[in-house]
Amino acid sequence: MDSSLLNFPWLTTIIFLPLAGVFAVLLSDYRNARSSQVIGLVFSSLTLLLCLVVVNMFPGTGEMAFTEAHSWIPSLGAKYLLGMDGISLLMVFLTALLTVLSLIGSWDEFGERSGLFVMLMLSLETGVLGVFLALDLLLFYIFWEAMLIPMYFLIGIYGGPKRFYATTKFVLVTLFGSLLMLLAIAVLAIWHQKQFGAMSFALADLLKVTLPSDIGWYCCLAFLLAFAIKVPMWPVHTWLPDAHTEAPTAGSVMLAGVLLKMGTYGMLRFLIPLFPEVIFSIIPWLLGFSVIAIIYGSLTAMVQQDIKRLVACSSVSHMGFVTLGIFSLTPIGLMGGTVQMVNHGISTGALFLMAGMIHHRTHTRIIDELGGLAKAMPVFSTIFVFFCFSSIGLPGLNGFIGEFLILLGAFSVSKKFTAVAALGIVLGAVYLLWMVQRVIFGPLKGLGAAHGNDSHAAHDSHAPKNSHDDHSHESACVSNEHDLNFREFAALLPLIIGVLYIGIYPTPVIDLARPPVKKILSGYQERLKLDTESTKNKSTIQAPNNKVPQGGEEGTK
Amino acid sequence: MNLAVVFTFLLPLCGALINGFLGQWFRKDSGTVAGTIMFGSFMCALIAFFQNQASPIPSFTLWHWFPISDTYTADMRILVDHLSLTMAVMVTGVGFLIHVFAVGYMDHEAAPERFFCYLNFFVVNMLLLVFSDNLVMMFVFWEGVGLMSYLLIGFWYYKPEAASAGKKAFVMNRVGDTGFVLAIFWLFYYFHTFNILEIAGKVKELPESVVTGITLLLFLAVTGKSAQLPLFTWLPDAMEGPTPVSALIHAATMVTAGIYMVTRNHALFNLYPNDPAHMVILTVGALTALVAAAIALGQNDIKKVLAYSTVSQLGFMVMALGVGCYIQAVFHLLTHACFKALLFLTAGAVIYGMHHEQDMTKMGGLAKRMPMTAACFIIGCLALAGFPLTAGYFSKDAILSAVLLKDHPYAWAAGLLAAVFTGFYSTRAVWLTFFGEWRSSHAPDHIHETPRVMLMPLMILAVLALGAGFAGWPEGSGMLYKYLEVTVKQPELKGHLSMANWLATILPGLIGIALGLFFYARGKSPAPVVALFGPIGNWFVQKLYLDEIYEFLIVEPTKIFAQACYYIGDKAMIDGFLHSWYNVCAFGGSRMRRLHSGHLHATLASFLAGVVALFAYILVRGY
Amino acid sequence: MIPVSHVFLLAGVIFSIGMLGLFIRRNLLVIFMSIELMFNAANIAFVGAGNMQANLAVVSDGFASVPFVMAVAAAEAAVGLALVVAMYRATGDTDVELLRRMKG
Repeated sequence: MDSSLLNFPWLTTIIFLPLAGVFAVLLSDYRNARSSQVIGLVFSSLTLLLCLVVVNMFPGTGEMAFTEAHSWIPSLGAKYLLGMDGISLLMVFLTALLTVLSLIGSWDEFGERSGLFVMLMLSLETGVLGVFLALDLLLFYIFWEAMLIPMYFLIGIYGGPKRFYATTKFVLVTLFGSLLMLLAIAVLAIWHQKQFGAMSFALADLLKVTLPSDIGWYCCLAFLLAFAIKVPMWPVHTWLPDAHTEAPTAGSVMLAGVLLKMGTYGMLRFLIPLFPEVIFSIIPWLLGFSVIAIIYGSLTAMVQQDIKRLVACSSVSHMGFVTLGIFSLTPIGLMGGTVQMVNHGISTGALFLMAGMIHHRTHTRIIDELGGLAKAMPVFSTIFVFFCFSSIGLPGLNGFIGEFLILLGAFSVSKKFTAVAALGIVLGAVYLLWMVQRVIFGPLKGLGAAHGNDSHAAHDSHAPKNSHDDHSHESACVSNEHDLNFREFAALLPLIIGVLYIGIYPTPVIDLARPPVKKILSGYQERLKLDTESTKNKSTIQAPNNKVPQGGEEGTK
Repeated sequence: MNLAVVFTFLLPLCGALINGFLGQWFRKDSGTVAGTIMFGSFMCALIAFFQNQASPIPSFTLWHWFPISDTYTADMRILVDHLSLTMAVMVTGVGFLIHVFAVGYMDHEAAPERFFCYLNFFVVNMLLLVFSDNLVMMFVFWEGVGLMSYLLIGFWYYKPEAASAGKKAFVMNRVGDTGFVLAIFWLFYYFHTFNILEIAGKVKELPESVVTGITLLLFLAVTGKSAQLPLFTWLPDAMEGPTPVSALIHAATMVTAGIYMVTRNHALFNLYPNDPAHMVILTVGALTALVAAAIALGQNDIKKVLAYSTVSQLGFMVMALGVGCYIQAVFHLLTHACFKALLFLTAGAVIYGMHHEQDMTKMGGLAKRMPMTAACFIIGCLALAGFPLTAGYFSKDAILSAVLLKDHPYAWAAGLLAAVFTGFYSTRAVWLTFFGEWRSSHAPDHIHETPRVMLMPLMILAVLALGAGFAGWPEGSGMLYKYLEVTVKQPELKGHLSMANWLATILPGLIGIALGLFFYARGKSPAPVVALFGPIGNWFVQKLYLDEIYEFLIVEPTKIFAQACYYIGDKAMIDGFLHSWYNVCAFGGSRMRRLHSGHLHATLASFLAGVVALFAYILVRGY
Repeated sequence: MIPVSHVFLLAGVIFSIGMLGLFIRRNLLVIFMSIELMFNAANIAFVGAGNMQANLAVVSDGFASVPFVMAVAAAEAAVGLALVVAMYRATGDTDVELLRRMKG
């Protein structure tokens, strides 16, 4: 490939293009809602376009591509290091896509206040993209925290009635974890100075640091806590339902779609490579917490009354699957975890978008106040059910690929945990289909009395199985005024395509994830081997397939 | 890639897409489109069937689905052999007839294109399930047919019962599917492949305990999909769907997927024929056959009777699986598909004629008004009851004698009793519906014979219900056995039945019919006879209270536990912990704020005090 | 030659007077003047200390600090007086006890 193309600072451009959009909005007139929205859309679309360009040039090896290195704070040894592998590529693409879609999706939501909203969304995008591309821990940390600020205001300004509680809880809980992580990062840098003579925050340098076991423990736990809060793993998940419920639609989409992935991404990129020994020793706990999250998240989702809160609780469950895959530490599980990160972004993002659309039409998200939307909004309902099934993990749609790979990977590590986690699949069907049953099916409610409630009442009273009645009934109340409009459909279409694409032909996505996953695992096992050789720890991770029962071999020959 | 095979499932797929996206512009003709396409698909299946007899059609890959590891990729791959083609012919054939019937049945529907889109898409899923070469692909379409079942049960989604029944069906199937997935994982763990034939080749390496575990997990999936104890309660509820759906999905094809799946994996099940798993399968099958037949005795809804009889007949098939007689199971599956589809469609015709009345106690004497329909229904019931020389007779007899030859007298006895019940409730259904007096409050004047478009499929199915049994005759060496033995290797049955045993296998059906006639033909009360048996009878009328038991034992505790998780776990404990920290900080702050009085001089004084203290400290400690 | 101790003594006395004013007066203008006194006391101390250096040909650190202090004092005078005027406009008085709205 043309080297000048490769040397162009693609990643810097991708990260800071949205920020340039913020300044563009400021320079034009942020009080003019429409012009700000157009500028925002242009800049985020350009970012998405750049991502597509980068996807096309992406070499697809396990190594970091498009790397950029500049000195940044020489006295601390902090450098401006960026790089992209398959996992970051997927996440970056997801971020860029979801930003565009949520801007489109909330086009009419804020009216005059859209200018600031657009700026916040764009700066959020910059922060998140930075997190996924930074290879220097200090830089990573700065992006990690910087992204909190726009999110704080997105929820705090544009949120629902309890937005202040939600946003404060979100920021405080997240900050708690990340400050501990900052401490751990500092400790790592200082130990690097002790062992190699100079401070450094670069991931590649810090991988070589060997920490005393107690300090390693604390550092690992600090990282783990920061990431676990972000994922969120059980039991540090309670900020999520509140934040989701109160956030505006676009905030929820970004929160579920990409912000949660920062946690799992951090685990893959930093936690496992930096602290393999500690992670190895607490694997059963991590798997256990993941399984609890799967079941517990599903159970709490079952009792929710608010659609958004239900989807938020289901996120806990789905992210439990992701962490289960990651901490199975098998190639299949990690691959599944990565794919599931994308899947969750797509289907949960779509569900939040659609919950927002329901709210926009009916001014409520309470399940009991809704019903029978299929009658008044057939296209909307079809797509809603489609995304619910994608979230349930119906084979042929995206969710299945991720969950299947995760459970397949986890099975070789622990049969019991996998069996319990598989129950989560049943529960997933329970809460989502129950919600569908109450919101989409049944007699029409929530859209006002104008839509033939009377004829429905007639239906209920003697429950006729009569298609003759239906005829008059349907012709009486079918009207498309509430159904999806073109803008909303445009916001959902890319996600529909994504769901089908990953469900039917996931090979390209998995192939993107595979080399980095292998690299992470081989690094992990190498470090572990060094460790086990020194401490004579006999247990090792078993490859899933090389265990053929001995009795059978004897029996055949 | 064999074109006949490909078009067998590609045509319905096209039909589904056409009806789904374009159907709203030709609503009235959407049924005709779907039916025509199904006819094409049926023809393709027949062509493939005969091609395969001439020279075996090789398997072929549609596309590489997703990579599992560097060396293994899960493929979408079509397996063509005698078994899958037999099933495909049955699915498309019965499917075609039901489509034709549905054209008439759904003619007053406002949006029939949605119905035919689903129905066509169901056939695609079912065909690909049958043609699956590996377990993951089979699981995909296993769930796919479940999805279509969900959508079709809930076709009249504005009825709360329909929406609820659809959800129940999907969720209970998912319970079983968990077993399927875990079995797949377990097999992959050992063999690093999903391919059914490869697994069959290597399966001898597995120890008995593992095989037992895997087969039990697979059987869990069967209890879900094929409606066995304890997961069968979704099937009767599924009758909320339109009647053609009940005929196609909940009688002829989807519910038999479990039987097909076990037969497909017979190498695994054959390995240890005397392990506990087989006892479980046999027991579950026998119990289901008996219990469901007993429940059917007490039902008044004509579709519910047929639903429970389906469960019962599936129990017979599972019994056959339990003794390792897969071909007998498939034989019964095929004959059952014919006569049960016939029964459901005739019931549909009756319901259509009665303007959506399903309660048999409000029917009666319909034979005079719709003689052809009545004749078809009676033929179906005879086959169901196992009247000698009908299709049901041969296949049920094959299963029962196989069970006895394998030396399971208790299961055999349960089967006989179930057969008595079957004869009884069949007769009852016939008599209450077609004979006796008119019991409805409406005048019978507007009841007419079924329209021709609906009658034609009925007559074809009636012929099949009468004659299909000869495919499996004589027992053990009939045409079907010879054909399927190429694919399904099952141990031969040893020994022959004595005359008395043979009589015992044909008599129960006749006894049941005779008893039924005795109780109902005299024109007395249409109430179920089991009600005469007091509380025990009532227990059966109330469907063993299984729904209530599940509600009490599983649903409610789950709900309570979920509430506890949210309100105690999330709200009280975790949030309580967070809030208590918040309160500590807030309390500390409220005390500290008093230091900030706002008096400039107080601030200055404290500043001075601080400076003095610092200096004092330095003076005392030295530099 | 005046002994350096006298210079420091003077500086100390002026500083104390300034501090006393700071503590006991409530008029913002007077407080402000007291602060100026303290600045100048510091400056005297700087000059005295700078004078202790043997080689007077080189500008000592003490002398060098004086202009800084003066500049700071001038800046402070500008900002401080502006604040005093602003306060007078807002409250019609210059009593610091009126400025208690920032209390916790």
